[in-house]
Amino acid sequence: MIKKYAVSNHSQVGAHFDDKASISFNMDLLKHIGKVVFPYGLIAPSMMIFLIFMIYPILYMIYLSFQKWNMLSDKVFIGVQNYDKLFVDPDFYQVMITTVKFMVGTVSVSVVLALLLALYLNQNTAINRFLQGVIFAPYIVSLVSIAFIFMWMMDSDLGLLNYILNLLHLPTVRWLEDPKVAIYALVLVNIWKGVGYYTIIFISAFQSIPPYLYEAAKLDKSNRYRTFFKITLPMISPTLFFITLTGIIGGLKVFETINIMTMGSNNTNTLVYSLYQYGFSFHKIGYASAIGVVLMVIIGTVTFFYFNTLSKRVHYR
Amino acid sequence: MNSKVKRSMKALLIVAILALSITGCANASSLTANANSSEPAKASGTPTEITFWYAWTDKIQQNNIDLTEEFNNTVGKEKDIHVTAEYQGTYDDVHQKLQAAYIAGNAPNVEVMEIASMKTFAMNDVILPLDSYVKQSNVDLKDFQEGLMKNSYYNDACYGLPYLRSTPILYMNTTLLEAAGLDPKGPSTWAELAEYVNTVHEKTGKYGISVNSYIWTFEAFMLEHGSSVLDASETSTNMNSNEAKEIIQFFKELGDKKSAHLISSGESDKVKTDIMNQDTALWFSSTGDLTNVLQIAKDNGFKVQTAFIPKAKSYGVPTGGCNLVITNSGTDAEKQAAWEFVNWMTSKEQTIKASQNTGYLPSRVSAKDSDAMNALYKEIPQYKVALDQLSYSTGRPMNPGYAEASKDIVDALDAIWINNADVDSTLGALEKSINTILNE
Amino acid sequence: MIFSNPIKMILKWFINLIIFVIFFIPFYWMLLTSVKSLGETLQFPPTFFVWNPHFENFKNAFEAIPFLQFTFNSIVVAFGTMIFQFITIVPAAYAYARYDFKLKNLFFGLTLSTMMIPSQLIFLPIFLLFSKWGMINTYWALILPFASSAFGIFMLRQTFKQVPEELIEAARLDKSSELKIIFKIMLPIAKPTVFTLGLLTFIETWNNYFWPLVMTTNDTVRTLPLGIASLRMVESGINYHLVMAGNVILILPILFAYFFAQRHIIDAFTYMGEK
Repeated sequence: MIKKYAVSNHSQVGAHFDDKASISFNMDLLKHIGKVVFPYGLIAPSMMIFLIFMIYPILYMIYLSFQKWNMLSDKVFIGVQNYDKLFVDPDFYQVMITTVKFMVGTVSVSVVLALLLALYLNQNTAINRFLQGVIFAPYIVSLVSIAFIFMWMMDSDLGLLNYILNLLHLPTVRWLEDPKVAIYALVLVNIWKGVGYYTIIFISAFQSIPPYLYEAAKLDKSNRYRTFFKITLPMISPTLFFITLTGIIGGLKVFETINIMTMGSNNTNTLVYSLYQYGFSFHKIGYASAIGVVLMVIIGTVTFFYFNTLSKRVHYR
Repeated sequence: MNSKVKRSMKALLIVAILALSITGCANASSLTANANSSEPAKASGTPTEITFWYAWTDKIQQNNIDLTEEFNNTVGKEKDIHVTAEYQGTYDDVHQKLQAAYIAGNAPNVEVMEIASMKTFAMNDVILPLDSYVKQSNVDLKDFQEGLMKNSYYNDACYGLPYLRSTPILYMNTTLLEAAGLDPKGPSTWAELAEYVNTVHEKTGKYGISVNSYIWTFEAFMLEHGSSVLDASETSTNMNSNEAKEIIQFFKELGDKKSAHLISSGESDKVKTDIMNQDTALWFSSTGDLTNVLQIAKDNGFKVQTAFIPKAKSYGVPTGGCNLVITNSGTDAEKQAAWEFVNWMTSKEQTIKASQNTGYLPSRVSAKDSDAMNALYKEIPQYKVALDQLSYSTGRPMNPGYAEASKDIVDALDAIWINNADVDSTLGALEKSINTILNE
Repeated sequence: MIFSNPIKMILKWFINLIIFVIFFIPFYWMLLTSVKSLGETLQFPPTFFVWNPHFENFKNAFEAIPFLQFTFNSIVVAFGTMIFQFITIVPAAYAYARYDFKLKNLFFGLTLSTMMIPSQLIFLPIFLLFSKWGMINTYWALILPFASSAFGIFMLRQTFKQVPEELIEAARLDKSSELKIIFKIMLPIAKPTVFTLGLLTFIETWNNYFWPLVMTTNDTVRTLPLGIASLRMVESGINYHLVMAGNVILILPILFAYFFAQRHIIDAFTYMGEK
């Protein structure tokens, strides 16, 4: 639609261009303009979606972060008061710390564990393929379901995990109630869900390393660890780069486990969850938006850092 | 390449087919609750369609569905009104969703509203003052029990009529009490309460009491100690007072001795588990829970009695539960239809039914004094405790910031009771943060 | 390989077993709980097998929520999202792969940057937007924000780029229209990518909980994950046997598909991750 509109607009301009112009000239011009405009027409539908549902919301959120508003009253412009309040609120720092704990915990353990699993399951045997299938399964299952399953298994009195700890004569853990433990319990759930995905990606990255590199290493009498650190790791660094970046953003946006398993209590409140709470439970839209802006700045910084610093050091094939 | 296409297609197809087959299964099973409430009334003209939001499941849900259906089949048929009842979760969910739905322009016409939410919505014109309707239908507001009307007013206008209303009461597993050699009448003071709790634990090894961090019961504890969570003007909190500390220490000490089972807010369902497994002798809960609890007791073979919440300085409890409100949305005809529904639901007959179905208070004096209720009280005296306790009741705080403040209070209780945080510093910080919230 | 050594062999199988148990047990626990009675769920120590399964849990879970409606909604939203993504992604990917135009890099950069913005960050303004348009509680509110995908555009562009230039030139000489080129040449070659993207979108949408949670206020357009979550909302106490029964119903289609087409689904995800 946009394309057509643009074309007809331009063709009018073309008609005024030269009264004596021949029809064929006009057709050529039309065609030319059509060609110029055509790619914009192709990207228009997707750009519209992005503009309306990504770019505009971000701008509107920034605007809202300078307002005091509970959705029912009139908006009041209050300058940077929301940010002032945010930065002196001890809860906010707690939330920041929790967010970082969650993100770093999930990404670092997942990556290390997945690398080990990938090395272990790398050989293409039947049992390895089967195990790959098993560890990948949680990744395609809804996080809601997984949250409920683990909430049940982590029940401090009736749960399976404490029963197993009991059997092993280990002290039981109040998984979701102990504020020192709860966030790591949630990390555990996220690792369990995601590690299979990481593993599979690593395995496929391993398999795309040209075999002659390994043969060369063998000739050099390089030992296994040396080979891993000198050949395997550098060769999969683009994958590592991709996985940690998506993992960090995935960690920042986690909502389901918190919403279902702890509702943000016991020091498990993250930025995304408190954004949701202030927005939808307490109806402090301005304050919630300020939290959103902070989160956006964090994501932007991480991404920028990644592409500008780390990406230069990644070994691209 | 080609095999990859086939594989992906196959996977996609299988997902789709399975998804569809599940729909098929669902089709076969009956959807009783939904089917009943959404069946259009067979009246002459086109009926005025209105929606009604309610909270909670179990007996309370059944009560809401049954009454709605009865309305549709009687008055609704007569006046061409059809009500669709929709379940919305907890009171908090109803609160959140109403606000969102109002912005979105698809608020329900009638809904249950937890009494502490009334002011927030009244001051923002989300709900309608009912005075003109009350006058029009000659409803005698004096027939509603005085204690239950305290949260209904904003700026001298009445915004809601009492529906499923309650006070918190003390529940007792008397089978356990007797096993511990205690009087099944229960404790009447806090000193006796401590004695009961410790004795049960010493004699039976079970918990004397299960207590979860819950704002409403904590309001009751404060009132029993002659204080309140917020001061009268609702601009500052008493959570850092000696009374609050006394209460918190009281349970903390019992918890440390393992006589009391202290349960964090996130795990409140543990109270129910304790009750079912007969792991606790005492617990506090709404009178609206009574029908459910009696059923559980029957299923599990123990006896249950109810009592006033014990007195420290004086008796005192907050009322709780929900009022029925009409939202400021829809046409005048819909608003009128909504009133017809509210009026019918809060009338004497329905009040009696609702109370019998659930254990909630009969909110009208005439209902309370009716033969039907008196017969019930004679047969099952447990129902009467909350009613008697009502004479010592007050309303709940109405400050719009109270929802957020409540969350902070519950967090603080969790921190102290469950996670051994320092009492003085926790409550000091709590006081500061609540006072900020209240004055925003 | 070098498993002639029996100790190594045993160790290997032991590790295999542990991996299997860790990833399988939670699913088993879900299935087991879903056929336990309430009493059995409250037992400690728990039982590891149920001799008389309570299949009525499924019936009760079905009856507790408008299941049919939720499943139908889930399907509408999943397929609606897939169709919209197809419409927006294919032309955009083609443009970015095969055309040079002014500001192309800006637009493409903008597109890619949206990948970094999670929906959990911008739900409030979008909620307000849909409210203003009166579109809360419609399928549109659940579909439109996901009607395009930067990831999809990126992946499909990579595929389109690999199509040999000669094929397209030949078609242009035959005076094929650009649309014809997209549909007759590009798409057939890109079929694997398209279907893989479709599969990923389906799984993602089917599993989505957050978005329908914030964009709906009544049951008419709510999806299955919300339904499952609402099974826990009993005034006091989570009835785990019912929640798990609901869970089984939610997970089953995905897990079954996974069981039959496991390799293909895994391939789909790795295929995407590699690029």
